[in-house]
Amino acid sequence: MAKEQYFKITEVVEYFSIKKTLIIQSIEQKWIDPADPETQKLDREDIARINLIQELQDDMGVNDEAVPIILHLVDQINYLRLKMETQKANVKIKNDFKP
Amino acid sequence: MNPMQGIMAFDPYAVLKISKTATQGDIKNAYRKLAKKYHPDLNPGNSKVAKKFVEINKAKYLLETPEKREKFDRGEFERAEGSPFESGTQTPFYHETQKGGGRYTFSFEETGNDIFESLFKNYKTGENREFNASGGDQYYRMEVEFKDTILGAAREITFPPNKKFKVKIPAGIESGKKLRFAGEGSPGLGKGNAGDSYIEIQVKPSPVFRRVGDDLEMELAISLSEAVLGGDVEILSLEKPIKLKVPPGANTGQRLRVKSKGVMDPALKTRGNLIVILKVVLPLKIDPELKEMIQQWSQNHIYNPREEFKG
Repeated sequence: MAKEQYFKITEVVEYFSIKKTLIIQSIEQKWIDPADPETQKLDREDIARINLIQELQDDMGVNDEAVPIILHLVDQINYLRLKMETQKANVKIKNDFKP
Repeated sequence: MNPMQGIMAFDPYAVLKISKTATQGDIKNAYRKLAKKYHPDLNPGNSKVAKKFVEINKAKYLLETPEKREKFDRGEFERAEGSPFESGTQTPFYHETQKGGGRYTFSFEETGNDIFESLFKNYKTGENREFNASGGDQYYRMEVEFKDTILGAAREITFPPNKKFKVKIPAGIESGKKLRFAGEGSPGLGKGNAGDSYIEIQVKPSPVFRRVGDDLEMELAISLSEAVLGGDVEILSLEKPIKLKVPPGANTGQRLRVKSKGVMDPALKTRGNLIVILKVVLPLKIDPELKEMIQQWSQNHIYNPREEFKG
């Protein structure tokens, strides 16, 4: 299995067109939890999350106060989806069961 | 295909639902309104929404500055670096990184918070009560052998992950009926009761028997001599084989009844009947002796089996 790739903040700015000020703000505001907190390197999840924040602010006009609320709700949706998919897999196992 | 053709056939004004005289501010507002509705991270797993979002972004890209807009209106659109149409480093959507469980999704499990607890943990009613709710019901489907549904049976089944139950399959149960296991569903919240589990029964068809109400029906092939002369034949039942008397002169379609070999009624402790439908089957090869015998017989014994169907 490939090792998860980590990126420095400067690399994220260059490769993914995300503003440096937003990356720093996201870390300070705890909107993201860097994959490597010591070196503040970010993984794919962190980058996608900051990109979502950037789109919420720039494209949808969301203010700073609303960002953590929206992130929390999005995380809950993803958690529920994961639970539902686990449940569907369990029901499939039941359908295959023969007494 | 010319890659420009797809772009030129695309109408960004229609996608953003604005007129061709809309201001740049109108374009920005229209995009914002649609982005809030169709962003894939706000609608994870919805492929129609994702497709729509691509269209909206395409439309925004073509009109986002006065220069780009003028070029598009003149039909002079050029592919530009960093456009949504270029392949290259694409930031994944956030929900894609959380598929199968990511760090941010699993943070819910690590805190031990049920999804509803995290929403309602500080919620109190006017009487200062905590939030209680019954757990949800769970539904399953189980295929059951035909014989078990006719006579009844006890079977052991397993709920995921590994919870075993002894299930009493009631005699006479039909496909679509559900067995209920009280308290075996999802756990409740607070002091709420656990939900129930329901198992829907699917009856596996029998290759021999057919259920008709409380009776069973089966088709029985008999020989020419058995049909003409009658005789004892052995037939299958759901239990031991049964001896059946075929009367002389039996014909295809004739129905013989075997009492109390049908479906069990658990309340009355009685059973329906087994109906045996005869089917006369000639030998695969008609030998010359049989042929000659029938020719002679038919000359003196004329009968028309289709008499009743004459117009």
